[in-house]
Amino acid sequence: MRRFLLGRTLSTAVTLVGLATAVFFLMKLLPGDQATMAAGRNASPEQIALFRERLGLDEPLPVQYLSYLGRLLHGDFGQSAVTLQPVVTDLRNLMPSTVELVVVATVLSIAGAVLLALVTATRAQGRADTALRVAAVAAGGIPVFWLAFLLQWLVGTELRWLPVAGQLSTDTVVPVRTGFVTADALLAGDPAAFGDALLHLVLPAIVLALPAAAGLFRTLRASMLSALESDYVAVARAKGVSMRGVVTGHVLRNAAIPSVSLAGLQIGWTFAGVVLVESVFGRQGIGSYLTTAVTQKDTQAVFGAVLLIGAITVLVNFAVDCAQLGLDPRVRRAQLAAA
Amino acid sequence: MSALLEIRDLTVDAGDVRLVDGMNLTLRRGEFLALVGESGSGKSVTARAITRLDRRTRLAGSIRMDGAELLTMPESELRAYRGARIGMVFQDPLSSFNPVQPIGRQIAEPLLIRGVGRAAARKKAEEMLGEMGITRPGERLTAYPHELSGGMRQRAAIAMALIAEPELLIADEPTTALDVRMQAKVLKLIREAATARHLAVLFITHDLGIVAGNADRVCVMYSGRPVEENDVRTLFRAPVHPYTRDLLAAVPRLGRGVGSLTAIPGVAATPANRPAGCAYHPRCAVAVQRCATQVPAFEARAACHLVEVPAR
Amino acid sequence: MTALTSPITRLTRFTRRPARRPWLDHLVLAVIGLLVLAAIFGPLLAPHDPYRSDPSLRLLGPSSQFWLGTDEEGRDVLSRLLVGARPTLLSALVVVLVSTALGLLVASVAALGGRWADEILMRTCDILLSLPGLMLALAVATALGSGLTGAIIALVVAMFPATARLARGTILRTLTTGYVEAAKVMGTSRVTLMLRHVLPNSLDEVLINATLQIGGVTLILSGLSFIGVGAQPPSAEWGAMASTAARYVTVNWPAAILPGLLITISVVAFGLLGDMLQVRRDPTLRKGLR
Repeated sequence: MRRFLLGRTLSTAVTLVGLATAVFFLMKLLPGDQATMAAGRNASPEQIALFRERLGLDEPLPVQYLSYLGRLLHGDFGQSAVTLQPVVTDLRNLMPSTVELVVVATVLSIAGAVLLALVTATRAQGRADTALRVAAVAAGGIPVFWLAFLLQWLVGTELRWLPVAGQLSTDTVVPVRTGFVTADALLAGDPAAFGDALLHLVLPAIVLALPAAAGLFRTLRASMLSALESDYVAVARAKGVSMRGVVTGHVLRNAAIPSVSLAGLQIGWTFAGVVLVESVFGRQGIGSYLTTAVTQKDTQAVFGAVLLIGAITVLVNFAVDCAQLGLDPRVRRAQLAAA
Repeated sequence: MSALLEIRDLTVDAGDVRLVDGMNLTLRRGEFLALVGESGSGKSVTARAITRLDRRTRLAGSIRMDGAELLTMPESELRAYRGARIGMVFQDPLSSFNPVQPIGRQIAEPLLIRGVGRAAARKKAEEMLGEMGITRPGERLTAYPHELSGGMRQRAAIAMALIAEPELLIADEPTTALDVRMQAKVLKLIREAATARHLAVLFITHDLGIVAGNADRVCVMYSGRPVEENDVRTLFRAPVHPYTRDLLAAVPRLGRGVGSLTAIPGVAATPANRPAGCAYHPRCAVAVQRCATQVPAFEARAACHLVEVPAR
Repeated sequence: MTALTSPITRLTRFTRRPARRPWLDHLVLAVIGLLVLAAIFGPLLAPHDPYRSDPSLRLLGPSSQFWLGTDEEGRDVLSRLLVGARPTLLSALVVVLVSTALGLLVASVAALGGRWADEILMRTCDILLSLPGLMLALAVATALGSGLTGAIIALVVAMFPATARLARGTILRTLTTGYVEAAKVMGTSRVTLMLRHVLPNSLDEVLINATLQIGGVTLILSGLSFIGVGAQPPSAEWGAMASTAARYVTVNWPAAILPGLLITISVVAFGLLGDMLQVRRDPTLRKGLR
């Protein structure tokens, strides 16, 4: 067990370094002088020279690479040409809002997928089941940003059910403590503001959750069906277990195994999808930061944000691998044998 | 001996195919009855119909246990029979276990779902494993199915079927997936457990050879119908139905050369294209014209037009 | 083992055998046929000049002259949609073709090039795969500068590792089959072996995968256009159209909804086409609508 974890930790570390290396080479690919970019649009020649020296662009490539890795280790992702702040500071300030959104979206997607799969798996091929599967296929093909506009228009503007933009209503103020608006509202003892923040999360979270939920539903449904048709379910029924008991006691855990790894991948995709959603809903976060950075050609900020999201993805997958170990005793043995 | 299980005129349909066509069977308390037939003969379907395990088949006729009609009983009442009064063992011991649950929990499940405490259920599971000849049963409880050998898994499956002390054990080809040595061991275990508990056993198999020394009575099925039934000695010594005779001729025995083995010509009738009349007539060496048109009634001990019914 | 398992559960199934849906297959083929027709003949069919803007005709609703109305620059929406099929689908197709070819090449080198080549190439693929496709494409597109070409190259980089992984597995499996072993014994060179025997027999799986990728690529391409690193205005690429027109959804909703709808339809159609091919190759996979 320990050797397996050690192996996975090592390969996760290798992947992280690989990620940084890929970004390093991408930055080398950039047209134009990196120092000019890093220093900002209106920088004087002296400032550019300063940046060239600070970034070590005169050094040979291997030295540049090593010092780049060193800077990353110290949390130095460079400086944004737009905000003129260190990229790390920007990311740290924007992180809570994005994490909040991704967490709500993930909870929505998992809860929705599990619920729908539970309802339909035991009565497969029924009308509701067929309709849901068609919907799931379609949901997987919708461009996220377009869905965001559409829902914003339908639910927000036409029906006026939910707020369409921002993190909070303009007349609501929450003192910043953790940076997580919902948590801050609770800490401030302001349930109205908490509700307001949640309402603002609903639409963007639904947009992010929909494609993820569609994929998860399909996987979950398929694995529940195959679990329901397995021998051990027949055996359990022969032991006198009720249908409900069979589903909760035997089917769910077996069906969860393939779904957990998919859900892990999807957290990464949801973090990436934020780029397409936050700016539509006028939310301040990593996604909208990245969108602005791309349009403003703020490359340091782009690569900083990409690195961050990449690292999060890698770490989430590492966590999922560990969870898998706890869920499936067969993996446990296979991995131990392989390690 | 009173009848524990009585199956009368059972038919089982799946879609528009009749899998079992008029099955009759009586099983007394403490009796070991072997239900023999080729694959597709309806023997497993019959066994599984008793606890109504197959949700997609339509059942008609009557299956009574201790006088209570199982066929029309609500599912919730039937659950009190499954596992508690009727234990079942299946063919593949690996897939019979949930791969992500320790076997101890699964063996104890028939007790746990009936409100027996965890500690007591665990203790009973350990006892049962011990009775099945598994060494260090306490440690095995926490093992996962894939960590056990095939023979050990099947013994655990028997422990699981017997833990709630049922009156009837249905064993659906429990030895087929095992190697020959293990087959003998598992068979002996079932036999011994049955004797110790005065347990009725419905043993389904396609292998007449392993029936001889173990069963009290044998019922032979062909294409969804019973063709012959008798106590094991009489059936082996003086089979009356041509199919039973052909089957016995295909079983190797000591003291006879391999040359005496004869294969049955033709292919087994499938439920989907069951021949008219006696289903065996296309393969039967002694069939007469009547066999092709008229389904023989099961009288006395066999269903064959050519068997003389002894006058009572 | 499976042969032994089946009789036990054959009848406990909770599902009916999934119905074959020939009408669905026909619908998918018809939709794809229409999309391809639009991509080829779109510019000929367009009733108006898709790029001529006229401020006096801004954001008109559907009329007999402009069937689907006009966009924010007074251009005919129908014409732009017809013309847009080509850049949208063609770029997705180019991405998939190039990334599949690249993936096959990498896989062949990895499978035949010895342990080190295999280790390095597959590790690199794993690293690239660890990033969500959109992020990787975004990073590469930023490095290459915006524009459709940059986005296409970026997507090739994002898509080929998955193909390489898949193809390597298939190639390794094919390498152990009897006829390849036989060819090896006869002294066929490694390259000939690869080109004559292994690749052709690994191809169907890879091609099915490519079909399944078209939808995903179309989606990411539209996302890149939305962020501003893909197709640039005034291109009629559907992703770019969807992202600009969506802002005017309250004024002219057909113009806002249709580009996104067309993307959705093409993604679903190509996904189902991939399923269809997969089922045709291996009928046991039939699970109705996946």
